[in-house]
Amino acid sequence: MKILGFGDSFILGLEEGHAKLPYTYQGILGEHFNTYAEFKGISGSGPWTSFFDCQDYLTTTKEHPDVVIFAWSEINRLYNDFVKILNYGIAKNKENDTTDVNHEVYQAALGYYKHFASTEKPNYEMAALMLMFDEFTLNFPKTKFINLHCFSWLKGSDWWDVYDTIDYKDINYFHKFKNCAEVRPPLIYMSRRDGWPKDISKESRECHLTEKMHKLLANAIIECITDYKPGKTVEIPAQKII
Amino acid sequence: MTYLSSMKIVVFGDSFQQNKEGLVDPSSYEGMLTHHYDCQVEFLGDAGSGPWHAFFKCKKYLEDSKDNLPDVIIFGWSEACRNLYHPNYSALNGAQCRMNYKSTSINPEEREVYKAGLDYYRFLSSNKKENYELKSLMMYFDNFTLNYPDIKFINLHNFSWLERLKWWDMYDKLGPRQLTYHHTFKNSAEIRPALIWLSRRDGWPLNDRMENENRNCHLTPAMHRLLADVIISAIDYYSPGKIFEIEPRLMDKQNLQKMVIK
Repeated sequence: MKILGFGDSFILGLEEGHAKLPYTYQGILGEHFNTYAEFKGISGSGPWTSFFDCQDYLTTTKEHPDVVIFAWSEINRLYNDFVKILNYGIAKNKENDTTDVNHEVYQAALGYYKHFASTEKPNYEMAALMLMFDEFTLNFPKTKFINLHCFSWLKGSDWWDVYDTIDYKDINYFHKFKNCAEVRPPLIYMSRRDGWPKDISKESRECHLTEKMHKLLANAIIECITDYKPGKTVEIPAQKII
Repeated sequence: MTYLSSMKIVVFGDSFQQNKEGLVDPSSYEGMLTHHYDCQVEFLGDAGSGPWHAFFKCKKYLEDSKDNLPDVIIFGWSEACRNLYHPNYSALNGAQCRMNYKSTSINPEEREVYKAGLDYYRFLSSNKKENYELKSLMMYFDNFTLNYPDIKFINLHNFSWLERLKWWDMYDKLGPRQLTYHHTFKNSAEIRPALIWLSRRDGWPLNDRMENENRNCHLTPAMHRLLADVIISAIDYYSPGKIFEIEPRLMDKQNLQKMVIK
């Protein structure tokens, strides 16, 4: 069985044989299906990057994977033809580095974040992208597509700490997939509720999840794969997460 | 104005769907639709705006008109590359940002927004992403129309899929059936070919000097007639997923000339 993963740092891959692999959802899936799940997540990248990476892979490879796991990152992480990872944090860090070859790109990104990122467009852009992906998957009827929501619909002023207090049932998703399967709740909700570091730069968890969360997530994905049905949603119960 | 019919048609989009003067020109497709149905036709397109602007304007219009929804919505899909959106700035395409940024009649805050827009187009925009972004928005809009089952939605492709480094003169080299569209609508109707093709075909300003453009909605009266006729067909014989096409032979130079003489 060939399992591929696309997305951001929530689906960052560990190499085969890595000591931590058995404790991650990547490793648990691999062990369960007796394979190596190849996770191609790129830390800090956005959903358009993942979409194009996935599209390029599937449209240029003859042997399609059995399973694609798609982790949906934040829409305001920008897509750029030359700078693959372009988010607010990176642009801000590079703000004063005039020697960087991409200085103008980072400056432009900061201009975008200041004036355009908090409008109502990004949420709708994400919903539209997911809908397009949902239709796109119909081109690959032999592949099982499992969607992981990393985040959810947020207001312009909301930040990730909203997930510390939000009621599980009040989470507003961008899209309900019809042609493929999905796992809920968003991974950031699981991440914030178990082992979230005071300083994110000191993050030590693989894919921002504790071992407990890796197990819960792996089980939900296994359920999606073994009993795959288009439109299926596997919800990890709130009481298991808390 | 009073009309015989209570039918209401509302139109969204860019300069292809614009009413500049607030008056209805009888030789425009707006005027022809008004005359044909003897009803209110509102052209709400904003020159230089992009598809997201039209989407949010249409969405807000529908939210604000819950008790008096239109019978027909005509949606003109602007260029994929105009993909910036800001609620307070309608014209945020690359050329407008470049021009307005240098304008002496704007305040510092506006200048900053236009500068950010200009930098976005110079350093961040991606032709590949723009095209897929428009495709995805069209798909979303197509689903969105299902919330309004009593409204006939008619999509006008103002442009089509354009690859990087290709400009509008590409339309001079292609036949009307050779264009690649971002989406085929399933839940609403659409009209083909793209309006830019009609515009380039008849009366396009010499040497691309757009400052010399004097056609209403960038179309000659003959093209307005053809467009109005196909929209009338789309309204009268509306069916979700149906494509209404202006027959290529009608856009032959000879036929257009005959229409002018008539």
